[in-house]
This record gives sequence, structure tokens and C-alpha cells, in this order.
Amino acid sequence: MNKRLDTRYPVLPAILERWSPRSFADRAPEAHKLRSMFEAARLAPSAHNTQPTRFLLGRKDGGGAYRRLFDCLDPHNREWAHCVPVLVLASVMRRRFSQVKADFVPYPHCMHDLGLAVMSLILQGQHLGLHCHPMAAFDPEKAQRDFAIPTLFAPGIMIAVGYLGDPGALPPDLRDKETGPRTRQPLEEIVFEEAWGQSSPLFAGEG
Amino acid sequence: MNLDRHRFIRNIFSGINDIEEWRLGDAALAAAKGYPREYPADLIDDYGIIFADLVLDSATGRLACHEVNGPNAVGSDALTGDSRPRADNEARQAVRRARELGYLHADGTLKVPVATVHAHQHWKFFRTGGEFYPRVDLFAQALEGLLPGHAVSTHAATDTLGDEPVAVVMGDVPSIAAHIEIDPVTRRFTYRGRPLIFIGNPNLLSELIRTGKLRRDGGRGVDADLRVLHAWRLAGTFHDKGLQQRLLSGTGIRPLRHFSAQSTDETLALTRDMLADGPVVLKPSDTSGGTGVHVVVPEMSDDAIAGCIDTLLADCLAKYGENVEASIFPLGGFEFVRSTGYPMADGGHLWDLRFAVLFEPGRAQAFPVSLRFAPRPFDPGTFHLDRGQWISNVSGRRDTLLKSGMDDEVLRQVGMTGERMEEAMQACVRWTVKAWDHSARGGGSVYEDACEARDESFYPVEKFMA
Ligand SMILES: Cc1cc2nc3c(=O)[nH]c(=O)nc-3n(C[C@H](O)[C@H](O)[C@H](O)COP(=O)(O)O)c2cc1C
Ligand SMILES: Nc1ncnc2c1ncn2[C@@H]1O[C@H](COP(=O)(O)OP(=O)(O)OP(=O)(O)O)[C@@H](O)[C@H]1O
Ligand SMILES: [Mg+2]
Repeated sequence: MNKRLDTRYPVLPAILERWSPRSFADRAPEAHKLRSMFEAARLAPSAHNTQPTRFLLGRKDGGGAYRRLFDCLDPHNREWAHCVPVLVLASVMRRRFSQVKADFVPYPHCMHDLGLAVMSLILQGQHLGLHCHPMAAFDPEKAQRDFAIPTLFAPGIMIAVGYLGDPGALPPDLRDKETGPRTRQPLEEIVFEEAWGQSSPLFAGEG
Repeated sequence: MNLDRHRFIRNIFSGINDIEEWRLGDAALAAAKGYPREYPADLIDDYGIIFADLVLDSATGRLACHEVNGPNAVGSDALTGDSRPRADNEARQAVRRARELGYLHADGTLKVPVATVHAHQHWKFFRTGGEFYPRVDLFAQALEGLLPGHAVSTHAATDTLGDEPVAVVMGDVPSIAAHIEIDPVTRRFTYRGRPLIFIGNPNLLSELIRTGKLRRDGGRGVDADLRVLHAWRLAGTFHDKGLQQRLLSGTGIRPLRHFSAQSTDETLALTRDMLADGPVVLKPSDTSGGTGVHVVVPEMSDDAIAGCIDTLLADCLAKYGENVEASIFPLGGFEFVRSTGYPMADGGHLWDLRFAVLFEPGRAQAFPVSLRFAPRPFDPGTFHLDRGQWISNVSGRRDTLLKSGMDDEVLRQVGMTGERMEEAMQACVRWTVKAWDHSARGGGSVYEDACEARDESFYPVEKFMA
């Protein structure tokens, strides 16, 4: 199955290979690969070097955290996520402590910084042959309660991690999606120069 | 049985000049006053304790701070008469660390024999056995409760260890440090070859630096896995009294003007500058018990100041031995802060009031410990010639003059009203959280922090929220 998007310009292999599957193999990711993924997340940049992201790891072959994370998922996600061997909940500091104010201050970039850490984790996993699938459809309040996450932190995203599985095992509607094409907007639609909405000439010439 | 045993120990120590802060303890009074006070501290993600020595500055009427001490300090028994909450806090950190470092099976049993170390002041200066030994005992009991099925045995630093699964070792700083090594690969601490899961006294770091087992890595950080130290994120802060003052800004406690100097010559030059605004207190890094703390006044000649710096170095050499230079610089200079003065028969005595902040993930508890008084009345014309007029810490003197931090009459006389006390405790908690954040984000190396300090609107937060 080739899920690769067409690219006009070369990108890193892990970026090219990455996509968000719903079929996962019944095979646990090796611990050393998970370790590298979190190490990669740890190295991500963040505003004021706040390092706001915290991860809760649930391994199907481990303790009870997996089940409790799974139970936070929306029913639509549970339909396919039951075959996922590893779930990761990424939470983020809602407010930042300012040394100048000696107090907490708003941190509008917190979800952005969580995203940077999560993308590092995803790409490192991809580089090691693992696929990830981020999910926003879960109950953050339930997660906050069930894991006694301090109120300073907000659950942000749930990430499925594992090896690619057989799309044939998915329910029919999901199976079609799984094998179907992926789409992205052309570069001209998202990169402007000189004026908002005006495609950058960077892409106008040769490929 | 416990209390009897601890009373027995304390009786022995009271005969050898112990400071006996436990005698100030009054559980009923503490409860009536709502001590310890509870504060949320979401940012704090581990265990520890700090002790801040505060004064009410007679010049400004504001709170100021002589210094913040780490878990090397005692006095946690001055509230109720024992240090059980602190010992429990220590034990919970030890077990959490054992788990995180991989020394526990999933069922909570130990994979390997481990050790914890509890170090007190150099013997010659040690006067707090009445707090220290009962706390180590309470720690050992708490640990046994948290590690069911494992015998915990206590040892002196001179003991060789047997085959007990958990060794709780106590002794003075040099004897304990003599048996600590740092694994060259993992950078973890071992004691007589066993993994350490808890180090109760950050002064061991200074000793390991002095003896060449550890080195500073550039700044104030050391190249070792510090997570086994109580209050570990603040380990560098306890030995940097200038940083402590900078961290006070915004907490409600007025930071003192200060400098830090890397050499004797630089100390002399910076002291001269600062004397323009009044007397200066010189303090070495990495010492405790008032060692090497001296005051200089504007009237003094350069020679007299240089003589004072020499005396300071000699003090440290006498206490810590060879190679003190490795750890006493940078040498700090601080604005001399004159407290409001406590009226005694012979005049007004300078004082400071120690507060403790005991913290764990998500919360902090603060409480007053004790008031300490300079033994002789303060005279602005002669105090620089007489340490007894301005040094309030009790090291090296027989008569401790301690008063309980819950003694309303004394507090009233020095101006520490109930409101001020609450303000002081909130400020101490705020300092702790701020110092924790500072350390977690790289000890002040963040460029945006510097920008924000110069211009608060640097990161236009509200505009992003809109
Ligand atoms: C959302 C965000 C905003 C940032 N804003 C600034 C900035 O305005 N000025 C600046 O010098 N650095 C800024 N940084 C860089 C961070 O300080 C830097 O990522 C962090 O200190 C970690 O250092 P590193 O990126 O070299 O690993 C920002 C980083 C992020 C993720
Ligand atoms: N800036 C200052 N202004 C006035 N007096 C000070 C100042 N700093 C310290 N002192 C006095 O000197 C004493 C010792 O200073 P400091 O507490 O910093 O040293 P220390 O070696 O850490 O002592 P300890 O370990 O007993 O706390 C204090 O108890 C206080 O009485
Ligand atoms: Mg002190």
C-alpha cells in the first residue's frame, strides 16, 4: 500500500513516509524505539524553554494505564484503536511561570509547543518504522480526573503508536479510507509572498 | 516507644550543648495558629524543604532575606517538637527515586541493596543532634513502611555494610562523603558500592567538589545525577546566595543589593563600590554555620578590607581544610540589612526569623521556625568590630537566645504582625516555586527571560490570546 503524497521537492524520508493509519499490527513496539521517541520529544523547542509537554504512556502489554487511556477515547476512535498496542496522552502546561512577574502568566503558545514536541515524537517513531496517529477525539476531563493530572496541565492529544497492520481487518468504511488516497493543498495555496493570498513566486518556475 | 527513645537521645545531646529547637515545639499552639499553612504549588514536581532566614528591614519596613538554606538546615522540629512530616517527605522521595532509577520490581520490592545517606555538620560544629538523629530514625521507619518486606537498618558512616537490603547511613559530612563515588557512565551516586536513593544534605556536594570527586560543569551545576538529593532542583541555588537574592524579586521580599566576585582583587574592588551605599556583608560560597561571614563598613581602609578578606579565607581553611578555593569563589557581597531590633534589657538586638517550606508534588506547606538574636545590642558605630552585635545565627555560642516563631509577644515587638507572617510565608512559597522553575528551565540561560526582564511587553501575550 502506497500512501505517499506526491511531492515536488525533496523532504526528509520520515516526513515523506509518515501518515496516520488506523490498522495496527498486533506487535508491541520495542522499548528502545519508544525511548528514542520520547527523547526526540524532549529535545523540541518551546517558548521560554518552558518544556511544557508531559506524556502518559499506556502499553497494552504493560500495566493498567492502556485500558484507562483507551476508555477516554471517543467511541468512533475506539472502533479502530482497540488494535493499537501503545497509546500516549500528551498534556501541556496551560500557563507559564514568569521569572519577571514571579507568577503564572498566560501561555498562548502552549498547544503550539505541545505540537512541536509531538511532531518530534512522531517523526522519530516514523524513522524507526513505527506509525503514529494523533487523536483529538477523547474526553480530556475524564483523562484529567482518571490520571489525577494537576490542573496546571491540560490534556491535549492522544497518540496511537504501533506497526502498520492489515487494513483488511478494519470495518468496511474505515478500510476504504485506509487504502484511499491522501490529499494536501498545493503549495501555492498556503505560501504567500508580498500580499496575503498571493502565491509566492518561489514555486512559479521550474520544479 | 518512639518518643521515649527520641527523648533519650535528646537528653544526651542537651548535655553537650545542643541547640534544642525541638523544645520550642508546641503541636497544640501550631494547630491553633493554623500551622503549617498549605499553599498550592502546581509547578513543583518533587519533594524537598527550604529554610529562609527573613528580617524586617528597619530602613524600609519591608521583609528582607539573609539567605535561603537547603535541607542541610534543621529546625523543622520547632513547630511541633519533631520532624516527622519532613522525614515522611524524605522517605517518599527516596522510594519514588528508587522506582524511577530502576531499583524496584513492579511489585515494589527491591532488585538490589540500596543506601540512603544523612549527613550533619562537621563534628566540631554539630549542635543539632536532637533534631537530626530522631529524624533519621523516623525516616528509616517511614522507609520501612513504604518498602514492605525489606529490613531497613541504620548505620554510622564508619560501619561497613552487611547484606541488609536498605542501609540508612548517618554521619558528618566528611565521613559520609569519603565513601561516596560517582559512577563514571551513569553519573549516579553510590555509597560503599551501593546505589544511593537519597541524599539528605546538599553540603555533601560541596565536600565532593572540595575533595575532587565532583566538578562543576561550567556554571554552578555539577556533573552528576542529582535527583537523589532532597530538593534536588534547588541544589545549585543553596550554594549561590546571589542567585537567591535575584530570585526574590517579585516574591514580596525585597532583594538585597549584591555582587559576586571571582578573586580576592575583584572582591576588594566591588566591595569598595558597594560601600558607597552602606556596610557590606561578605560571604563565601558553599559554606554554612556562619563560617567566613564578615562585615565591612565605609570607614574602613583598603588595607583593613583586604585583611578582612584574608580572615574570611582563613576561616574557611580552618573549617574545611585544603583546597577551599575550589568552592568558596565566587565570593558574595551583600548590602547589610539592619533588622528592626528586639528590645532587651541592654538595648535593641538584631534578629532573624527562619521560615520553612516543606514541599511535595503540587503543594507546599510553610511555617515559622524560630527567631534568632544577636547576643549583644546593636551599635551602628562599633558593630563591625563585634560579631556579637549582628550575627544572629547560633553557631559557636553557648547561649542560643532562640524564641519560638509562634511567640506572639516577641513577634509583636519586632513588628511581625499576623499579616506580615502570612505575607512572609506566601513569599517563601513563591520563592520556592520561582527557584524551581528557574532551575527546571536551565538556570537563567533563556534569552527570552532576559528580554522580558528588560521589557515586559516583549511577548505580547494578550494579542495572541485575542
Ligand atoms: C513558540 C516559541 C516561541 C519562541 N519565541 C522566541 C523569541 O521570541 N525569541 C527568542 O529568542 N527565542 C524564542 N524561542 C526559542 C526558545 O527560546 C527555544 O526554543 C528554547 O529556549 C529551547 O532552545 P532550542 O530551540 O535551542 O532547543 C521560541 C520558541 C518557541 C517554540
Ligand atoms: N545581608 C546581611 N545583613 C545583615 N546581617 C547578615 C546579612 N547576611 C547575613 N547576616 C548575618 O550573618 C549570619 C550568617 O549569615 P548566613 O546565614 O548567610 O551564613 P551561613 O553560613 O549560611 O549560616 P547558617 O548556616 O547558620 O544559616 C546571619 O544569621 C545573619 O545574622
Ligand atoms: Mg544562615
